[in-house]
Amino acid sequence: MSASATVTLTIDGRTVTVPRGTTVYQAARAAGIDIPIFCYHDRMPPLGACRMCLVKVEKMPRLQTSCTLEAADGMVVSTTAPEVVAGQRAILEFLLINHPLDCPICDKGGECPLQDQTVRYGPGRSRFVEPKRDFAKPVSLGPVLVLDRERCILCWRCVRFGELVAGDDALKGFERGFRSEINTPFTLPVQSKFIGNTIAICPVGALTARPYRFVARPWDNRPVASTCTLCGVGCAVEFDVRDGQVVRVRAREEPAVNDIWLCDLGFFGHAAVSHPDRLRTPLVRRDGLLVEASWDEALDYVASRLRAAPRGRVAALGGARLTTEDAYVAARFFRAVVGTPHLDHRVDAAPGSASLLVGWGMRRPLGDLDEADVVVLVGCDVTEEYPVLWLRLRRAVDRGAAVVAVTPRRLEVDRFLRAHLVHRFGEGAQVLDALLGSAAGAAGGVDPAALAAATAAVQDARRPVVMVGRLALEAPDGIEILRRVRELAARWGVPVDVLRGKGNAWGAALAGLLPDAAPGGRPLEDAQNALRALWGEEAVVDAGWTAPEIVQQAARGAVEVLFALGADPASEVVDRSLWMQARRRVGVLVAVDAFLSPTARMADVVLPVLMAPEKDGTVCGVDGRVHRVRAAVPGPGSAWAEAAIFAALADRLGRTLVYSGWEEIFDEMRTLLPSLAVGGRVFPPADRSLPAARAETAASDGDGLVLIPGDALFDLGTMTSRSPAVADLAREPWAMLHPEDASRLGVADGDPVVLRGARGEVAVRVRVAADILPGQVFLPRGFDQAPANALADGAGPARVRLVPLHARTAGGGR
Amino acid sequence: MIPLERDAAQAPVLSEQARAEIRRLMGRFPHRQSALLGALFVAQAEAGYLSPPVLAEVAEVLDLPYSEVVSVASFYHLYHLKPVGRHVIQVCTNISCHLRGCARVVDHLRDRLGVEVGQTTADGVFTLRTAECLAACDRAPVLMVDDDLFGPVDAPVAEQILSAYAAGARPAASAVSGPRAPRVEARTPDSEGGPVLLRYVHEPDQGELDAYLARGGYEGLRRALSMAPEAVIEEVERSGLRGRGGAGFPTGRKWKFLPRDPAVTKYVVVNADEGEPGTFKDRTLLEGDPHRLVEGTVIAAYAVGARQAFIYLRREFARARAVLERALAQAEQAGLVGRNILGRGVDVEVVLATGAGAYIAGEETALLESLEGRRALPRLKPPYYPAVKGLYGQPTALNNVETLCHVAWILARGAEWYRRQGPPILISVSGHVARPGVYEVPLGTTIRQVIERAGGMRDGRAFKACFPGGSSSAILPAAYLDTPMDYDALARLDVYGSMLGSAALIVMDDTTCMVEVVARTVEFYRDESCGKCTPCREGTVWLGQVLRRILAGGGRPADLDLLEGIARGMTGTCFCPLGESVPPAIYASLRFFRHEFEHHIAHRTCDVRSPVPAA
Repeated sequence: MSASATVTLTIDGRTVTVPRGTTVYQAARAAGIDIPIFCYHDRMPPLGACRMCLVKVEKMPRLQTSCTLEAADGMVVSTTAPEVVAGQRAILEFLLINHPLDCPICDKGGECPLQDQTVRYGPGRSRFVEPKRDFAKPVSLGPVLVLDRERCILCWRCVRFGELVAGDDALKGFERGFRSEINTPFTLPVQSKFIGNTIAICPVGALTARPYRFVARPWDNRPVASTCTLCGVGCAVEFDVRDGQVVRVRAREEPAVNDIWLCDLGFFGHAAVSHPDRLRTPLVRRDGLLVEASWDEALDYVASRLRAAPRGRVAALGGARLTTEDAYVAARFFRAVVGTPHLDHRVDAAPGSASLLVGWGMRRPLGDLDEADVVVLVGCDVTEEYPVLWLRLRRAVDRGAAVVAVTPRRLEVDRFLRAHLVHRFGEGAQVLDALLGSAAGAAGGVDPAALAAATAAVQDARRPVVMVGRLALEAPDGIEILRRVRELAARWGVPVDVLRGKGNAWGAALAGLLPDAAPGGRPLEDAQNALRALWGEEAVVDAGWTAPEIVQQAARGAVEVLFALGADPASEVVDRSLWMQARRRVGVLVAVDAFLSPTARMADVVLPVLMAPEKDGTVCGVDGRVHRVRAAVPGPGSAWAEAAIFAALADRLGRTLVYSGWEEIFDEMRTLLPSLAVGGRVFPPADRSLPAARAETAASDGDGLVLIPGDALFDLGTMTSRSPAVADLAREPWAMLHPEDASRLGVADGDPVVLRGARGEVAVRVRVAADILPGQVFLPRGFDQAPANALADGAGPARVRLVPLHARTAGGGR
Repeated sequence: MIPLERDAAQAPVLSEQARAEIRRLMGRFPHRQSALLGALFVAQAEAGYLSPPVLAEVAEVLDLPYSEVVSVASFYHLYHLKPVGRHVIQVCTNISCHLRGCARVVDHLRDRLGVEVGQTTADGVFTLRTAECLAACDRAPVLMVDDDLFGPVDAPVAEQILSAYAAGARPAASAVSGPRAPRVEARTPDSEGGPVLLRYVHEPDQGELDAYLARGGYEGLRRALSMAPEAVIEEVERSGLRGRGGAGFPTGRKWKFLPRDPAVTKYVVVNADEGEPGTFKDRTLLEGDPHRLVEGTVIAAYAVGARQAFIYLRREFARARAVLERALAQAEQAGLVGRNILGRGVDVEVVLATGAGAYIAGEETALLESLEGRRALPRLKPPYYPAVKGLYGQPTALNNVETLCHVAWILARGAEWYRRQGPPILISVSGHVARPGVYEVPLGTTIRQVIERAGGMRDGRAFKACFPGGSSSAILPAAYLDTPMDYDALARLDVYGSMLGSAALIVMDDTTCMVEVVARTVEFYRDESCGKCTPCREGTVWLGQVLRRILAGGGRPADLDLLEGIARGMTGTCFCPLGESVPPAIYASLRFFRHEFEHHIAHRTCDVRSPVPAA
């Protein structure tokens, strides 16, 4: 660093040298000198509102706020001068005059900056004898957030988080002066996917989480550092454990991934772990009913069926909920012990979809997004699918990046995008043609102005990023979209980042839960010798069936034993009717699950397993980073880890598959993939080449609305419906309709309707919004009561009819 | 998605016409959010008040987050988020009107309407509210009904106003209270020429372009455009002109801070948000000589290289708005504003924007926030001095109305001529003088002389105290009457917070209870505090509570130290000058009128007859 890049100043008599641009507050902190703060937060620009961080600077006429003051050469700063002490006392006294002294019942007690700083810097007693400001308290702002305005010291952190970090403007200041209050407009339920962060950064007990209110004191909690596995991002978390339960989830600082933030699914979606519905014992179907059984009974039965089944007639679907180590043991079990290659974690991929032609995951580290100057985001509903990834994109936007989105539904972060090409589902490839300049004019129903803006934005990219997600890869024209996305990326010489897969999907792939890749992501033939050497036995290295092929084969009667491995094919397989046919033809369906999911409900054997917060091991984030998960709480009843299940089954099949713990498995994987390391990054399986372009299959002209199956962060699936806060946020199954269609069909926002497809129907409540183009209906997956896959007809984009229900029959939802 | 408590099938509330008007407003600003304040008035005019669905529709038209729209609407006094009567009556209760008996007007209206302040009559005709200084202190006490200003108002006048509105009429101000043009007076006879700034404000046709031109109008602009921009700035700097908004910063120097690079977009912003209690000179100029401001504005834009200028006009100035709109239209028509001005290839667009009721918007960075369509919260300085990073983050020359009127004169007649005029300064004199009004005097005229010009003390009473520079300045007792009204002399006094400020001289006689005056002053800042920083937000409330308790007979001897202590806690710790404006009145009143506090505390009553001790 050159001399001019730093400044040297004196703070409390100590000489401190810091980079130019550092504030006095940060300089003091670097020197180990404490200055009290409330409004300042190092992830946001200084505000200077609370006035707590006052210091005295020689030659400056009045006290200065150290959080806003840039350190300069030769500055002489005092943090302890009598004026400073008097100023800090005055500010604390001001903050306290209207702050209720309800610390004994306040959730923040024990970890409250106001409490701590009052003890350290405050006046000993109050001179305030007037009546305190009075607000109704507490106020409910939706399912998770509770607001106590009397405790609020108006530091504006939560407001600024919404404006500057999340971009959702969820909380705002209303009124002004001493009437100022933080709130939502008219105290409506807060609209945010990130509100848990505001609770975390609130320096007092003004914002509290309903699920945690009055539950614990910080000193009661044992923090366990782990990783969230609920979406695919892989955010670092701290599980606060009390009495064997995760009572609170906090973000753990991880600059490369989530920085210090989480989404609300991460904050509140782990409650299911301690839900009483957790499976505690194996279940076996007897006389048509699932009944409790001992592990021996259940395993003996499964082993006997495995022994009886021809090797190629055993298959396994799923694996993304497992740790990488458990997935590895599963892969070894199936390839080496059972001898079947029919393994695939990609349960939710459609037959022949582009999803099956790409290695799932990003090629670049998440942190790289901050530096991008152009981001082309194709077919990913980023805040619904990978919420924290949006926070990184937002940083790029703040640094001037142009984000161009090509999606069938308008993203809620629309106003931060340089251009947003909202197109008809199934016409994304044509939109990309127009963007790439290989076709003239707007296509797919996109706004021509947006197309022009998008075209301009992609002209001049120095650090471009190209991302493609599920809405594109699973679209009817997904392969054509992928072809164009690859073309765009090739033009720029950058990789295509594939935003696909939930939980530990990447770890499952890495562990070998794929039909065409060995553990470590190596091609099967290459790995044969290594596997033989490692396992001391022959592994089947034929290419197996993909997940959709497994379901198709099962439906044809070609599968004798089918494992649903931490997956819920009944909900996830894109065509539910095909799955039901498969279920009927499969000899034995073994569900390895923590809950009686829709799949488990129809299984022959259900084996209860531990969930991620109950396990030690590793998982992979969406950018291939390897993270630790740690057992924070014990599992319920006699639930096992998958590795133990497969070891026990192997034992019954006369083979040994025993490891001493996750470390041994991890080390074994490292012999196949030497670069594997916790905190390091791995790379996804290779992409496959695309089939030759086919003539466009024109979207079927049938009547009805084109169905866009999508994702919602808050849904009502097996786990989310058992995390009360998330269930409350999800409320009820819904579908989105364009206002034109709504008025044509005579339905209004909030009306109950039935969507009727060729083979099934679902009941949902309508949300009317111009976020999709007319002629379509957007239906989020993940609502067990309204499974989107019930509407699939197995051929191209499904069309559905919308049948309004009379409001009286809706069951009082409004 | 906004969950609205309304029937989903409900039709939009705003008419297509209102939406079109909002879209037209959007077109006038470089960024659409700047149209928000105006859009909310359009919506309010149509819907009566800003209900949640109305706010949602405004958000939709402007494509802004709903939460942002509601947050902004709730910040400003003039938006109604709850239903109001057909007519909204606002009685000014600030110092100058307080001194002239507004309490009796409020009491009369409460009795007559049968409502408390803030309430609406049962028949839905009137909502009664109080207002902060309406910048018409020469007519104190004043009130506004909707957009119309009336004053001076006493009980019979209030009665006339009520019955006219109740009968569905909209009375002219003159019909109820007699013609009360601003009182303006000529300069002292010993200097050359007549008055400068006030010379033509009495002429009824001065707002007309032809008349203005006939009296030498736009000569300053013509001359400026014949000079290099740098030379214009030099000329202004040579004149010695200092900003007349309150801070008194040299205008030419301010302009020099803007980068000359023509590639950088620059703006001129005119602070026409006059709100400092006791100040009404800008309103006088706006209503009486609007082209002067337009001329000064275009000159400023030319000097700093801006192609767009925004006049941020106080919303309550309905008459000034009409006058200025007309003047701007005429000037545009005549090629004095807009493209290719005077055929010299200079483009300056002038956009008139209004506030929405917030004193803090007079603070320059808060004004910029407000002009950008947000809550008027002051910005952090440094680094965001407007000249460096102002409107929309671009370098901005931000000047007060009076300042730019001076600029027009300086360019018309030259810096040397201007200096020979005093230089001139406008002083707003209000309170207990015989003839409240705006007076033009040479800078440095003493307080005593100014009071004499205003006819001396009312009813022959004795002078007790004054605010020399609006309520943000210290309170001075009689011992300081011979202090010259100029920047340095007032600032040099041994009284904390003494300053020329906006040169609003509020005069109080011996019938004035100083505890009450200080309480009113503190309450003004309390109600106008934006709430951003702790000491201002909390300190003003606390001071107000203690002062009201003393006035109600609940004072304790310890309260004197407490008041001083609270003021100390606010001194030098506030984010912006608003909070820092409170301690001077506290310190000065405790110093010069301590006996009044003590009397209140000891006897639980007021005794304004207690003798004023010699300072």
